[in-house]
Amino acid sequence: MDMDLTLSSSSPSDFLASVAPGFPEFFLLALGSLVFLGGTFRQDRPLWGWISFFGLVTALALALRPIFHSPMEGNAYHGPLVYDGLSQTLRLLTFLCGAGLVLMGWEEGDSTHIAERNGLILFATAGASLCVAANDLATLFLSLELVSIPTYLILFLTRGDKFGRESTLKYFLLSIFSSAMMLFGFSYLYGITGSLQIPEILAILSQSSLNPVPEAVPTARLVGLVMVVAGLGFKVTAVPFHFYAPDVYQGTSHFGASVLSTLPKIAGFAALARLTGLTFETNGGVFLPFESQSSYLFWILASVTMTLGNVIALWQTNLRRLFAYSGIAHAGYMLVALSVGKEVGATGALAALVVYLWAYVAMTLGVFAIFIYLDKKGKHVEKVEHLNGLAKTDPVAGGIMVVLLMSLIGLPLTAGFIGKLALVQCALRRGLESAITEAHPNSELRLFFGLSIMILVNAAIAGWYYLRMIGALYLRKGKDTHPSNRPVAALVTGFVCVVVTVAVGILPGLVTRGIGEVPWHGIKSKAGMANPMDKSPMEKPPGH
Amino acid sequence: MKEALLALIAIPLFGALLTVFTARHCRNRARTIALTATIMTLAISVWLVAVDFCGWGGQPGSYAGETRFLILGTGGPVDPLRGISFHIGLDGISLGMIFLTGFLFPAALFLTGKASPLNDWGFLAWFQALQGLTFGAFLSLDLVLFYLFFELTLIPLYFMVGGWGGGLRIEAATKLFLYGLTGSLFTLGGIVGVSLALGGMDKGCDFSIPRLVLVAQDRGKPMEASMERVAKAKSEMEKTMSDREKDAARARFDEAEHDLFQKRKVEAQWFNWQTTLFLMLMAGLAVKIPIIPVHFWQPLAYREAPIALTVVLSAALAKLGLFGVVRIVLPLLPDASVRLATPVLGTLATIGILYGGLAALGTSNLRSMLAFSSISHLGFCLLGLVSLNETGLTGGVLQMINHGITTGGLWLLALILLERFPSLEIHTFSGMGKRFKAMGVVAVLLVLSSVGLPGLNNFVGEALSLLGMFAQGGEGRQLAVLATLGLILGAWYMLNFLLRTFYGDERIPATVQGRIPTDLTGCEKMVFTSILALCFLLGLYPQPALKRISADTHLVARELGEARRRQMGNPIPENIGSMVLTHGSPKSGTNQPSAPQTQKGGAR
Repeated sequence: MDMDLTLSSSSPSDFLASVAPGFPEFFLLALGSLVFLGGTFRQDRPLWGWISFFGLVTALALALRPIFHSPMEGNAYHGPLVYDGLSQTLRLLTFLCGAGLVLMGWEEGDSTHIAERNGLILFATAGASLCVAANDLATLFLSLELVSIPTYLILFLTRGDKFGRESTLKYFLLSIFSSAMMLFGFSYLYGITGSLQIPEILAILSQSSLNPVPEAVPTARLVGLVMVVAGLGFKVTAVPFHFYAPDVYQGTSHFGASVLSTLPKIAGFAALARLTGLTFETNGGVFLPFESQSSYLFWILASVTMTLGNVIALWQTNLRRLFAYSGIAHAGYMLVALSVGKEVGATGALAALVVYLWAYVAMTLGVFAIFIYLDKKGKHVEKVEHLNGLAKTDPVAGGIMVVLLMSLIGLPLTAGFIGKLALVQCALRRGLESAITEAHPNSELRLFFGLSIMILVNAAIAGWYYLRMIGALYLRKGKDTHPSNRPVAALVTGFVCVVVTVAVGILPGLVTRGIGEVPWHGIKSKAGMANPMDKSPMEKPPGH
Repeated sequence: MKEALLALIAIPLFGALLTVFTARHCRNRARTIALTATIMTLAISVWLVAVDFCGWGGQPGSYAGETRFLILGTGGPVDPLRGISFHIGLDGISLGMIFLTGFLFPAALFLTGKASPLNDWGFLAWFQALQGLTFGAFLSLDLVLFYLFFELTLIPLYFMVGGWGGGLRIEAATKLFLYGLTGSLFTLGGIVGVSLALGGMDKGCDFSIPRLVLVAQDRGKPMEASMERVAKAKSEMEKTMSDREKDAARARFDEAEHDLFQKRKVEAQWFNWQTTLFLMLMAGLAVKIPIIPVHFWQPLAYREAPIALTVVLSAALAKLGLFGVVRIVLPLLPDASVRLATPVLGTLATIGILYGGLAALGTSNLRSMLAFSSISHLGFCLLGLVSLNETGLTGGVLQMINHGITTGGLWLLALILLERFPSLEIHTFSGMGKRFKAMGVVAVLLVLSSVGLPGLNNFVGEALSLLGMFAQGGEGRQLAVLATLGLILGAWYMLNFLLRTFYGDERIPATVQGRIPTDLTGCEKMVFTSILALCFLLGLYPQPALKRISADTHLVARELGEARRRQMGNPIPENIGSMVLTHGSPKSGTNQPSAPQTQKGGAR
């Protein structure tokens, strides 16, 4: 924290005022340490489970209180943490996700390190939550490490056999490597701009009026961008930084996979959104030069990521491997929002990203919760065919699973549908708008139209492998196993995930508060861009 | 009225829930609930038809019982009229579809015997849910709402085909779902594109179909007002003397010219996008109908689905796609429709008519034959719709109802045969007419209706569709001639079926239980009598129905006529078929094109 102090604000009281909104996270860190300490005296599942769970609920309740939001005026730098709409909604998501992880792990794994594991979840949750609010590079890096380091340990604790060790080591090495790449990128950004504060960096990077522009700046800017995206791409499993995910997911337990597929992705996407200037309110071309570079970069990443993820997922039979590829594909969809960027006018793309992130986390967490539930019930689920006939033997788990799978396919009334609708709309909007305003060559229309088509084609491909699972659940016959016990906590997690999925699917406005409306509710028009399409007689009474 | 429409959607969905929660272990109770719910919807839809024909409903050309409230909204202060809304209403085009849905679902359940495995609570719950969703899709006046119902119908279909179907049920269900999903995802893209392009981008998206239709009509209008404004500003600029006035006038002129320029640009862009959007929107609808290159799921699904489901799948759900064409594609994308509908969809429909006919001729199973004949008959509906004039559109919509009644009746016949016999291989039956007199009469009349005998319902719809296509001239004529061959094929396979099964030496296979099969029972007679009554009613006195339909198709046809005039520079072709409609449509005389030719003399 010392480092932040020297970097950000002039006086200590200013600094304190600026980090005060982060109190829920600091509370979680303190509680995590306490749990760690307590673990040396006692390893008690219910005790540490309840403490961690209530800690997370308290943090959630605290985060909802307005005094823990910081006032935001424009893009000025207020301190290392910024609590704008994006951090508010993703913070809630992170806490919910952490609470879900605690619940899912209630009866999972061996009991010898249960306190440590709960403490680590608290740490990782706090880290992800700090990351979504990080407003300078140092805080960003520290909070990302605060997600990664507990994750290594969780991976190790949750499955200590040969495969578990192998996958932990793999994740550990590659994660360190990606952090190094990211730091390398940060050093470029710092070198060009002389600042660690994200708003300032973006402002300087994008200024075409940097007069005279030193010849090296565009190249250096690009190198920095690519390196940072590579580092964060590892966290969000963007192709080609995805290659660890299937092996690691398969090698670890359901619990380890559920941690890996949620917290680092929330943190990574929030960081990407901030670093590409998606959260900024200003527009009108300030960030344009930087943006168009990043836009095309993300275009390529998004299209390759979703296509590869979905196509390879078609061949998978191992459930965790399948969900690793499915997670890669969903990351590809979310990268579309980053590619669309700011040029559509305001916050449409950001809202789409947030809705999809909520949807993704709820769906994935719910699916893994059901896997854990089945596992503990004595029905070992590793492969798709292990799900056969589940709807008959366990209608509740089957019902939860089928709703989540429908959402993953993207059928209406679920969050998955709304997320895809928002993303398709963003992409099409950018394409069509650039064609009308002719601010860009017509190729932009083709690019972004193509991107939206790619989302749709990919959603259709994904339908295939998710449907195979629905078919296994409902249409095929399986062996009836006698349940040994009933891990209610995991089932409850699954149910809450279904509730969140459906709620976001019907009222997406719930999670986009403060970051602008979902795309179909309109965007602020760019200054000076009168849209002629508005002059149509829209306000006539219909029908006559 | 409003409540009736809401009830149509709510009652079946409520019935499904009731079945799930109260009748899981009692087959009789489940059946009672399902029958009660579906018969209630039948009563409501009959009431709606009655109200409409007595003139108590809405005005022709508007929507009756409109309900609208915002769903999928945000908490923010947004224009309450925009966004995705739950917006439903009834008009002449959807009225017939509502009646079909309300009639065939209870009929299929009613005729399914008490001992049938389909009286499972799961099947009945899905069946009712499917009916609610189908009603919803036919009533939707919001693009996303339509899509939502349209897509959600896949879920009950998947579970019903996969859970209660024949030997290849899982394959059939998977194929059905994946074809439907892939197609409708493109439709989703098309819907978003249409709403962005027509509904404006700055204020947010509009998905309301009636308002988007207004915009589409307006978009097509020549920009006379803007041009006038420019001319006025120009003359003013030349007139005015003092410097300050001159500046102001120049500013006005610049503004007017900019406005005109923008409008031209928007129109040019809009014109270009329409083709793409047309293809995207059609993708999902084409799969649902199905038209020819994307029909591969259909024969398998119709054959493997539980027979009660096949009845509604063919008679009601196939109409969802056609309904989408006439409700969404034609009015929202008039220019692309004029350019693409006849050459592309018309050709595909004609190929479908011939292919379906030939394939039906080659099959030996009654279910396969009816499946292929459905492709053929739905081709006639589509052919009518894509002829883009009032005659054809009206004929197409009427033919949708006729197909629902006649083919629905034939499927119901297949259903009661399956109640009696283990299989529907045509060669196992012979000379049934001697023993089963009532069944024979029903079969003969339904087959005659299906082949288009004058005096029965299909004749009217097919004739109007073909007339409409013929009236279009050019390739339309060739297609109409080719499609007429389909009628001959239809007569061939249908009469062949009749001849082989109900005439000739008596050879009746044993029943499932080895009992001697019976002729039609009282309930069955009741259902088939009402079907045959409808066939005769629509065949002998179709004017009220035509009048009701054309009140709404007329508006679509007018818009399309304008689009055609814009593009081709030639007038709407003389309405050959309008003599059939002259009683019906009081407006048809007043809307003949006035001054056609604009530019581009390249037309015929």
